[in-house]
Amino acid sequence: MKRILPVFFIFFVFVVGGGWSAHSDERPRYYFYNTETNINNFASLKMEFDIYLSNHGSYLLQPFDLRENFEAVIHEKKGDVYLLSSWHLKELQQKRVPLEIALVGTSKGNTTQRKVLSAKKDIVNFAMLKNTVVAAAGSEEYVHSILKQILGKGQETLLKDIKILIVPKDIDAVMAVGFGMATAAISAESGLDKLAMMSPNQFKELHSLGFSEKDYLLIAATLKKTDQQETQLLDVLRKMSETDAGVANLKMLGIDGWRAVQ
Amino acid sequence: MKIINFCKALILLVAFLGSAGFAQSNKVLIVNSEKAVYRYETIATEFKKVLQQNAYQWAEFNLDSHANVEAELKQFIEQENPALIYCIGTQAYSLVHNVAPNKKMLFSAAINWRRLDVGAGTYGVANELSSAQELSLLRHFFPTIKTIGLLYNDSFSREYVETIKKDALASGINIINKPIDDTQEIIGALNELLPKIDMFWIISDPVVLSNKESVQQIFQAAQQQKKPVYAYSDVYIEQGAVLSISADIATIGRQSAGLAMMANQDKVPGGTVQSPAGSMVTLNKCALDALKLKFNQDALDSVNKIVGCEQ
Amino acid sequence: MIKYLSTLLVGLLIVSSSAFAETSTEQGSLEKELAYLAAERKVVVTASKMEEHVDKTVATTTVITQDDIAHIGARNLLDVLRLVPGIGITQTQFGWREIEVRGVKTVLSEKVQIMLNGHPLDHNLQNAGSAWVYDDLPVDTIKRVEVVRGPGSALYGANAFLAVINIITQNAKDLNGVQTSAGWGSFDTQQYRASWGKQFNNSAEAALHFNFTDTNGINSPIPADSRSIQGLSSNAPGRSQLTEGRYDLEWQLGYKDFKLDGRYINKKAGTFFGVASVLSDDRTQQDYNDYFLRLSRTWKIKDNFTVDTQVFHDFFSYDNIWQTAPAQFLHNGLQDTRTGGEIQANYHLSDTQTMISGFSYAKEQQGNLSDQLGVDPAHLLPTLPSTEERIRKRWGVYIEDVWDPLKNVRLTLGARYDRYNDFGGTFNPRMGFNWEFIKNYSVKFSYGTAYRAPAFGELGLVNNPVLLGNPALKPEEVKTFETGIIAHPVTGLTTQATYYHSSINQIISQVPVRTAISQYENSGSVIAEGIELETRYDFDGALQGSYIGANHVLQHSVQLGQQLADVPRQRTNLMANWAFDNTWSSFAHVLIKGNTLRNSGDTRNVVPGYALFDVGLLGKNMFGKKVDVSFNVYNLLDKHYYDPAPSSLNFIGDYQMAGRTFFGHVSLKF
Repeated sequence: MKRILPVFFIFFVFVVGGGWSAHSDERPRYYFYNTETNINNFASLKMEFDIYLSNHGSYLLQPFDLRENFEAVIHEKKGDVYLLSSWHLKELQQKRVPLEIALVGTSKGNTTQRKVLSAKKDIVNFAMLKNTVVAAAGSEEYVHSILKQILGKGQETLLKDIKILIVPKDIDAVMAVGFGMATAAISAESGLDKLAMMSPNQFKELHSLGFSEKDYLLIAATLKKTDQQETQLLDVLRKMSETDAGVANLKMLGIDGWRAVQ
Repeated sequence: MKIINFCKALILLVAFLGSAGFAQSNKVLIVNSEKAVYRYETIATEFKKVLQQNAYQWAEFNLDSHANVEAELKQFIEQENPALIYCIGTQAYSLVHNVAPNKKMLFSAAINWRRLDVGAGTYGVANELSSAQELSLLRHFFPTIKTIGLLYNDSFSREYVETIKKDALASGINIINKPIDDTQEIIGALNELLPKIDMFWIISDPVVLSNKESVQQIFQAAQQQKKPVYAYSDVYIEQGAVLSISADIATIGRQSAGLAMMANQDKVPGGTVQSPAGSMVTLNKCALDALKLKFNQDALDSVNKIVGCEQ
Repeated sequence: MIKYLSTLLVGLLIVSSSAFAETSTEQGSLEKELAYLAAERKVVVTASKMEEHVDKTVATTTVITQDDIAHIGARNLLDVLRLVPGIGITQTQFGWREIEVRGVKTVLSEKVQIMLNGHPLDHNLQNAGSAWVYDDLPVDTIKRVEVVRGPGSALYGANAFLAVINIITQNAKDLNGVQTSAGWGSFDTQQYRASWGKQFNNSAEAALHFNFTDTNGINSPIPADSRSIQGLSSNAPGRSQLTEGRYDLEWQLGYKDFKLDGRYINKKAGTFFGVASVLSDDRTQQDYNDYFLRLSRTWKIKDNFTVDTQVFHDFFSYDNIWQTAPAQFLHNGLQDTRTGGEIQANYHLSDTQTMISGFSYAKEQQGNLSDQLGVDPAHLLPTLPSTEERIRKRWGVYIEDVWDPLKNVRLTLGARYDRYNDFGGTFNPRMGFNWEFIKNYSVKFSYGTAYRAPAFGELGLVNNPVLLGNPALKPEEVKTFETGIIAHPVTGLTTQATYYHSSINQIISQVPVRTAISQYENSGSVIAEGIELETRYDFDGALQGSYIGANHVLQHSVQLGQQLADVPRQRTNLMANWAFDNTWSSFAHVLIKGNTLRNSGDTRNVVPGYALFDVGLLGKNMFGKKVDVSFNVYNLLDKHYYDPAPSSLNFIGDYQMAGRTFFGHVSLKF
């Protein structure tokens, strides 16, 4: 009996604490989870955003490190905005989650990007990637799916023999090839542009082995029937590119503005 | 001698050896120098995640939870018979190197791995980012910086500093380095060094960075002489560093796991030591503005985190 | 209710996300980073370049570890040395054992330098050699034995002539508490040992070892002596009376850069046969006292420049009663001391080059002579001295450079000049290279010279009716060339093959000068050459801890065109250790020794070769890792075998050695 009491007590504290937490702060939120980046520093992201958002209303950013948790929130909540990758959105739509695109992130005027599989010039075909390491930023699942797309059909066996190394950023992935930590890298085209600027010699050593299909940058999605709260939230997002502070925050998400899509 | 006795001896010896068979295992033994140290433990956690995904078995041995470490570790290795031993931290590496020199070994989180005796059966992920990578990023952020100074201890960092100097030369940066043996020498060395340099570089040297006071001394001296400080870790941003490019700890764990699996299958040459593949760039805009330091605006999108004065 | 629960779930997810965010903030704390750096600071990998890896040395080296010693079930140092390629152990008529190295063997083993933690133990100035006291050194406190074959005078000076045997004992760090052990075996053998070691917080450390050993000896039958064959009264036929008892104390005290260490040994022994070709009864008593005291300090001038300094005092005395006839006893006693100092500079020029150089000085003194004669040990009267009081002063300078011009090449170049006040100077160079021509395959080559200084007994033997000393003696010299290959064809397998060629000149030998009278003179030379093959495979996987090993030597030592007597042409060791599990392992060893020839003029048949089979069982880390036990059977098949008796004792045949013997050992750690 003595053992059961503390267990009950802990359980009670969790249930009450969790319930209180869920009900205590009803402020509208932007829920964020991105399969394409591997941000380890959510604290900084949340703090920066919350400071910015507090000047534009009573809103909060809630980043997630686990996909399951993020998706659980979508299933439950209504009237909030979800920031996620286009790939992730498509996956959810296939599972009949009623989400639709409200805004698309832009970077230097573009709303879409391709992922590139690049390697040193002595790697001339996909087959040479067998038993090697491919570096990429993003969730393991996402990277796997993009790699599968780039390699094309009939390469399932090869895919099994490639080790994926998840790194925080695109630039890490492409530099990993230059410094010998990986044989190839998957990055956005902009990742290669950065390498060209920072380390032209390394850039010259690389070539592209394949490309993914074009896809949107980060997406702000809402549930199909938008209400007024969501419209306000989207409005705040859209105006972020108008101030320096807003742009600085957007850059932490890898974009510099938002655009509505038809 | 009687030939019959010799034959008896030989038969016994052959029977003795014949009874010995061969066996292979896929188990990895993780030896952690000190479980309470955040960096070691984070690396271990990420490492285990990847092993789990790939259905590898592992066992763990934490050096700080054993009294007679050497003997107990030796026994544990014999008991677990791992295919590879993953050593987190220099202490773990040194010990395993002595206790089981014939085992395949992988290390990480060891400061300046070049000072270790790395043999054919040893693999590693360095603790420091490749200095060539750091320098190219540094040059990208601060194109006008020409001379960088650093303090180090010869026993811990000599080889690393030599590599930095070589890589710096290639990227057109001049490094002025000054060895110290004790933290008491920091002030004198800085007074001599700071007037000659454009930027001070804090490297992960355990003698220079012995305690909080030595860290404060560095930043106070740099501030007095209005010299920017660049650091290997973002923990120094709060102290006033303008920029930090740090190796991402979690990536080191994942990268080690990948290397461990490849090494176990002999798909990577022995003696391979990789630089960490993940980096984290933090910019202190507040310190930058205070020093009126020229900064390449195009490089901003390579920054993971920008810290302003309000924080 | 469902809605409440799902809201609760989302709430919990948010709480967990916030918790994540908070840990992320903590990640960046300076305290955590400094804690990491402090943990890394604990280990300084100095990688002292002078502590070379065996593969990289130019000298032929064999290392026997504490673990190996435990498996062997060694009773004393001799049981360890007999497994080393190129080394053979045989019985002398006086009691102590001879250490044969590379086909050369002398009664006093004075051509081998034994060292304890780097300190030379040739404390007996009258007769040279260290086997007097150190042959049966207990092994329980030994951490490692390094046997370097080939000349070592370029670095160590006198008497590192054919080999250097360096015994490294456990220090405070190795002990870290109390360790005791006890062993019992055949011939009423008992051994006890207690060690204590501790490292203190104020950078002080202490290690103390105490050993006690006692045995009744092997009790071999002696059928005749020079008196019995003449029909005179005699103890023969009888049995050898080689009782041996010893106790010793070793200390290693350290404080900061200072270290005070030393070892005191008292050994009392009977004799195997005796002197004057007469079998002794149990009244022959050899009594030796031996100690050294060394104070050393390492000075760190710069990170790449250190200076080692030491002062030392060595002491050796004997107080022996020898039975020279059933009713005639001779008592000899003397004291030898050696006091000196050494300074050695170690300069780490670069990652690839290290240079050491040094200067040493020593004053050696012999005195307190005592010679008596009587009909029994209780009634002795002074007689004429058998040797002289003597003082010798010597100094030496040396330099050695170890340079790796390429990653796979090591060159070693060294030289030493020693100057003695009695016989003058001697210069000894050493050079060699090691080249790893393919990964895991190295070839080595070396050339060096060495010297053995004439002992006081050879310079100043007096009042001996048949043998005269010679104050004009020069040192013995040896020039050795050797080449070898060391390879690791697969993980766990080490193989080594070495060819050596030594030319020993100016041998100090007894040369007839008048009828029935000889004198010590530099006369004669020996050419010793041979091949040493060594291999060992350490098992991995489920059999980790198991190994098999073998070594084989083919040796040919020639004097005046004749193979040296009492030395075999070949010798083989086969070893296997099988680890059943983490606790139990079993060891097997076969020693195969070839025939040994006689001196010219000795009509006895050759001494037949033999094969001995030893087995052992070892249980480690039992009862909470505190207890180790072992049980060994030596000469399991009870083989009758003989060590050669010298030509002067040809009437007795040879020395019959022990049959099947047992030894059990228990060790406790606290």
